[in-house]
Amino acid sequence: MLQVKDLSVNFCSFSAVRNVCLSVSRSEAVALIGRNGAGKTSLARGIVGLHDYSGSVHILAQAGEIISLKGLRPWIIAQAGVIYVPEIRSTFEGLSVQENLRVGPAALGIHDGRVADLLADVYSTFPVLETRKQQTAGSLSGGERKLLAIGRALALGLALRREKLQEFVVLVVDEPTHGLHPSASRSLLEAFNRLTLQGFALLILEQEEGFALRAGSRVYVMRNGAIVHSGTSASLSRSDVEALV
Amino acid sequence: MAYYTQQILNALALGFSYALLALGYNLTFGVLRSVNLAYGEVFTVAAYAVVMASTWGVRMTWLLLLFGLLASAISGLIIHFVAVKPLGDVTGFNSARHLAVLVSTMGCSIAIHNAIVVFVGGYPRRFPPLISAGSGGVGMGNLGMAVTISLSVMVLLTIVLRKTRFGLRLRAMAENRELALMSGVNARRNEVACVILSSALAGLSGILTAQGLGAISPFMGGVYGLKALVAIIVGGPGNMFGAVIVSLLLGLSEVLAVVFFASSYRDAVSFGLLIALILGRRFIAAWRT
Repeated sequence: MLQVKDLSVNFCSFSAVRNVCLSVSRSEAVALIGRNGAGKTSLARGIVGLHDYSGSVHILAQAGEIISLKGLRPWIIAQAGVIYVPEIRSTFEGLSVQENLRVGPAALGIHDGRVADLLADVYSTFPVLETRKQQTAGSLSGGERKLLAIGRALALGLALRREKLQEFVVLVVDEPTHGLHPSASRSLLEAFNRLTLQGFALLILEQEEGFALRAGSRVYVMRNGAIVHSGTSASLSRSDVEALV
Repeated sequence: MAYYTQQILNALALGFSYALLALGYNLTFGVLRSVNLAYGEVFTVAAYAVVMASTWGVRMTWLLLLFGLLASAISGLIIHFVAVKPLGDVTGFNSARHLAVLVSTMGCSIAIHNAIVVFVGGYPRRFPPLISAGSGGVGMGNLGMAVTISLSVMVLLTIVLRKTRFGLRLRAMAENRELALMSGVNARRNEVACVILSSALAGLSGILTAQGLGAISPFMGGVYGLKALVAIIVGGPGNMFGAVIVSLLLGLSEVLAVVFFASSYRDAVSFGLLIALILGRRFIAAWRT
């Protein structure tokens, strides 16, 4: 379980995130809904060690072990199973699709023979990536690049679990539908469902309310850096969310 | 005929020496996003280390090479930890940090010059022949060796960067450092490995160049480092192939300058060529748009 308590991010005198508390469990998809500038990205970047923050972020492992992520470097947090998929510049554009997927396993020093199995699993989740595997990421369409970015995080997550380095893996996905065609959004939703069935936890930062309510079993609504509502997605309608954000 | 063969070998040996230096520079520039003006001094330190080892009685070529490469790796690491790393990590383009690194590495460069002058002497020193003069003419054996070693190292470097996990990590860091960190790449360890690798390339380039010149001086690295820097700017930062081509052109232009004019025109011709290439690139880009 990923547990965030009283997390605040300040840029000089400006508070981008104020006392946010949230949690995501194994096999659970949680949506964090908010307009542009609500503080979603600052929160995510704080969680993964790219911004300083006050408060705490912990991973509660199933064996009861509690790991604090505060003060850890971003690559250590990624290797601890909290993997961020940024909204922009989320792929290595000059590397091929296959190389993009291999970066995470290569960071863990996993042998090429074992990486082939991992990639086969990523391709089964995102079949379009297999047909494009020799192309450079920069030559993909915007939608394909989104899938590649999530596939890159998934490859690292699978590697961590297969090598028994981490049991709990959460993917923090920033604005997954931004710039996506509606049909691509539907296949992304299916992919998210498959990931939660495989035991991955998802924290989806999204401003498109309809997608967020379908993707997350629980939702947090964020406005001006603070959480203004939390609950199950079934208890909220799209118009409720629109009124809250 | 033997004269022209000798000149072609001269041009290739010089060009490949520049290419090794430019490839190393390209690596540090790509991964660390820093222009290290003390990089040329690593080139000088390696050559001096070989001379020192030789005066201490070391005669085996491989041991002299090892000594030089070790000295270059250590000096590269010292420059990195003294003049680059304390100025912070790179996330995106930060012009204040770039300028600070330029100034601090320039200071390091001057300190290394002075340290060599104080501890070894400011006068040129004879560089020991790593192999005896070849049978094909004066210096042909050494030039052939320089070309063979440089080519082999370049092929090996390409394989390492394209086919190994270490190479993939370096290329990922050069492409997008922040994303590489978020993919679990240990930036610190890979940066150190990159500095060692690029310093070893500079060291090898320094040894092979000194071998060709037959003598070394404390200030030789500055000009070579500057030429390598310009070669990567002209060839395209991050473009290994471009850097090699520009370096070979540079070697050829310098040898032609010596053959047709005089050795004093060497640097004028090579820097003139680099300026022409930079302007040519801009002109072609403007014409295309």
